[in-house]
Amino acid sequence: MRPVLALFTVSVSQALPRRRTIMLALLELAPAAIYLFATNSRTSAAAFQGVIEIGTSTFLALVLPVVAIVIAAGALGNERRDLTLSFIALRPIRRSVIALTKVAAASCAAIGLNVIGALALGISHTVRFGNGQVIGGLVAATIVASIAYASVFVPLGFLTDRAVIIGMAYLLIFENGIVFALSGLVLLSPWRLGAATIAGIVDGSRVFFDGAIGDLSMQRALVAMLIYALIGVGSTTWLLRRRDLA
Amino acid sequence: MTLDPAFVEHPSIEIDVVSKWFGQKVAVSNLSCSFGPGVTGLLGPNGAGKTTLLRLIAGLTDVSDGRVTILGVNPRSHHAVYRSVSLVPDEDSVYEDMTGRRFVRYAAQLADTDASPSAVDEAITLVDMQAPSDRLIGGYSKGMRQRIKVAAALVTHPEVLILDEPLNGTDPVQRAHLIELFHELGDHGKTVIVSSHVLEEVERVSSRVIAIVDGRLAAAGSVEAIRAAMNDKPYVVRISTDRPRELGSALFATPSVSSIEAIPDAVVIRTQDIAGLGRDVPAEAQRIGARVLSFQPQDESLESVFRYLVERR
Repeated sequence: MRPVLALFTVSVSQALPRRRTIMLALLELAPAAIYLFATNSRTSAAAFQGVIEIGTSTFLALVLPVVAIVIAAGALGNERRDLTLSFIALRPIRRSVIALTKVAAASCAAIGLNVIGALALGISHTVRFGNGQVIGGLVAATIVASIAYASVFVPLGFLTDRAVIIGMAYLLIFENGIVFALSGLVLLSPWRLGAATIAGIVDGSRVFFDGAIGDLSMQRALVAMLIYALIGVGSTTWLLRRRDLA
Repeated sequence: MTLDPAFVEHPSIEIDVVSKWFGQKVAVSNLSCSFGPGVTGLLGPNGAGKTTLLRLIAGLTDVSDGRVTILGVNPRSHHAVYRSVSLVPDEDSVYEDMTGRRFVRYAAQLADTDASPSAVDEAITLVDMQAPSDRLIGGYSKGMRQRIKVAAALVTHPEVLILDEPLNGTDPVQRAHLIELFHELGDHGKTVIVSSHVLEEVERVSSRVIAIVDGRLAAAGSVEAIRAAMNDKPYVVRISTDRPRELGSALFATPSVSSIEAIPDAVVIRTQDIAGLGRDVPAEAQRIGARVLSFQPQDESLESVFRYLVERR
């Protein structure tokens, strides 16, 4: 257990170097700032619609994926680039355990940063309009979507140096473009799993999501997240076993 | 029956007709040898395939053909063997934002061995890195990085220690200290492989040598045997002189010369006794009154010596 704990701890701390963490944390505050500005003179009902819409369009569909992709792509990608992968690989730890630990560490680091944005947005709304359900929904959505993104981008970061660029293209072109037109593909969009989680937790919020998540339920979203995680850990394990390691 | 010098009687590591290619490039070709307790030098010019071979042994790279076993198992499928094996790679595989002490402790934690401050201190002391061990590795010199990597390898008390060019970047004092350390480990029954492209370095580190070039086994055995084999190599020497024909004729009669070719302004001589030729040339030049302007071995590089050994084998 100790090797796994050591690997996890170091991986999380490496995912959050000070300067980058400060920059990403500031980015996390942007949706809350937009919300506060946009709902300055609105009624409670309009503010509720505002928190869901801004929470979706700026936080879930933009800030959260960017942060999660940047962190996850570096989890193994940086070790490969810095030639430290052999330091980890030449230890009596199974490749599957290394893969699981790396995905878990990237997920936790991404959740840790993204939860700042979720809390900032949720608390902004709750303090002004007294609806605490939104905080729970946003935090749960952050966990679900961050895990899904980390599961995809940890192996992709190991495979290619261009994982972040690929991730941005995937986010902007596929998730925020094509999937809006083809709602049957919602399960291929990790942030929509988070949106479905909010819809399942926050009463009356689904009506504001329908264009984005179709009929995706929270239960299906959670199952999809687990499948993402299994595929992510499985493919990372396979890559660690099959590829020559630097 | 005598054992092929490429093999040892009680091997910890066995390389069995191993080949490795990357696309069209063959890095290691049909190589067979073994390593056992004690220090073995892995010698070869840059690009000979030493690093690839060490990575194959460590299981970082999979063989294209053949079989590698370390302590009786394939390291790529038996990760438990890494409790007993450590690799010190040539490249800077260190965490720049860790202190040396944290790096060594991390190595111990990952190997699930004693990571207590005293165990970490012991490993750091072995490589004489006590003073800078609390500084970030990012600020270390090449020699300090090499030594902290060795400390991280030793903290797990491995049975097999694989070191890829560990003396690169070290100053003479550090070098002597590390060499003494490798000797001690070998004397305590550890299997230690030290790669280098410098024969004199390998000579100081180990008594047994495996020499490879172009991914093939060039020579194996004691340093003395390798040196003797290298001394058999014919040398080509170009001697610039004002009287090439006369000097060529005079030298042709000496025992040190195998063949001779006179060209304008020079004579090209093939010899297997470079020291004898060095004595004969001035003597014969003085006798016939010729001026020797230069004496240039044409293929003195280590690569040419190794290539000769491969062809001969």
